[in-house]
Amino acid sequence: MEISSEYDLIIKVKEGNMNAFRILVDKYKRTVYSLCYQLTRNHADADDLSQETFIRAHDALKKFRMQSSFSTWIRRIAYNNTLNYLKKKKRLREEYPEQLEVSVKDDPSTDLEKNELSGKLDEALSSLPIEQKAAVELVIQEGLSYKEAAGIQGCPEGTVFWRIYQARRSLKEKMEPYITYYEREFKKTGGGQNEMR
Amino acid sequence: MKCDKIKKLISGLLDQGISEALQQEIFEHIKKCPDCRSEYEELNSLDRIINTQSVKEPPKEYWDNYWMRLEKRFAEKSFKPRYSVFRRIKEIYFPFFPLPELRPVFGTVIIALLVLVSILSFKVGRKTENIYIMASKGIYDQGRISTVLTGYERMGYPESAAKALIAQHLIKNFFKDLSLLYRKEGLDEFVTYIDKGGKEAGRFESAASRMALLEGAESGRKDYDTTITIPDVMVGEKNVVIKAAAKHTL
Repeated sequence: MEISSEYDLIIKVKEGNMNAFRILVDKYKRTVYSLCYQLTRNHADADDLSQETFIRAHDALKKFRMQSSFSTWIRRIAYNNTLNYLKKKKRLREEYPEQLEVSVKDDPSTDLEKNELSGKLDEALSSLPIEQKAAVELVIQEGLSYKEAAGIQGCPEGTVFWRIYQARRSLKEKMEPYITYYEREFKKTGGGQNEMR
Repeated sequence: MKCDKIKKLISGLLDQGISEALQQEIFEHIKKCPDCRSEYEELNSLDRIINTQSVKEPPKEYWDNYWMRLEKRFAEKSFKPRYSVFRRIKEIYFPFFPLPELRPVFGTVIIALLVLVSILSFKVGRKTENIYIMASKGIYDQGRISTVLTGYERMGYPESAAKALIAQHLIKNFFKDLSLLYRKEGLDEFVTYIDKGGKEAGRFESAASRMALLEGAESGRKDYDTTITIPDVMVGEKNVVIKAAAKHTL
């Protein structure tokens, strides 16, 4: 039911119907934004990149042959677009370290109040390689299967498994004291009941 | 299954990325092994922290205006003129090119001119480059010059006269080396010129040495640096530029 309605929407967009495209945007804007945010850890970049993703998707939709699902396809565009942006940014940072340093400090999103736990998690996630960040977002946060994540990242399923494994290892190491505390608090509230089969 | 392997597979278990049979086996192991159970619980908590703490959901207004901003970007994009480089050149330099049927002819002429210019510049460039290579080999390097200068001074020559002699020597050697180089490079004209007209070469020697003498006399400093310049040489109808090549620091 859902698939056929999405299929119809895509056909309509291909015919130039912007209202149909709006429905697709409304459905996927959070997913796309979230992936971009996870990779950039910055609201302004995530906003810009998510909108750029939809513009690119709209332009490329004529060539979309519906061999993969739209959700995988749009995420793949977001992932590749963000990856390219970050590569460019990295190159600029190497060429003009001082200018970029200032612009990062000026970013209002970094001034947002963070509690200690989310601040620490933010720091730990930021330190991950980009491919691992994306795998964490797709599999742990969005609950996609390894196969779906592999389709978006353009790599074998085993690679996704390995990226998640490595990411969990580094995050666990950096978040060790917080995990213990969180676990204790979680159990106190009774959240640990019936957790394991 | 050993604990090391179980710990690796816990990640797959949490993501439901392994078979049900394997999931069952891991659960059985975890029940008995406190170490692996602790690993499972920690990673489970980590996932919970990631899912509750890491999402920075923007405010509602952000999502309310999302489509409006996207639409604006679409509009900006569609009004942005898309020029190709050739179209831009055409519009700037040939805004009123009247005869479209002559465009291929025009293009061909431009390409032919470009080819001609590149061939000519290659030919000219080759000669000056060769000469430059010789000069940059350091044949007349600073150390050698100062040794010769000291030698002349010991022989009783005043400094300016010694410099003039060195300059003369340098020019002579310069022409010798240049003719050798030209012969090596297969540039016969200049070799012929030198061979035939030794006297002509002598004229340059004295002209350059006079200049060096004049400059040396004006300075009076021991570390004086001078530059020997030689006028352009005419070989047949060709003007061979050796001015830059003949630059030396004494």
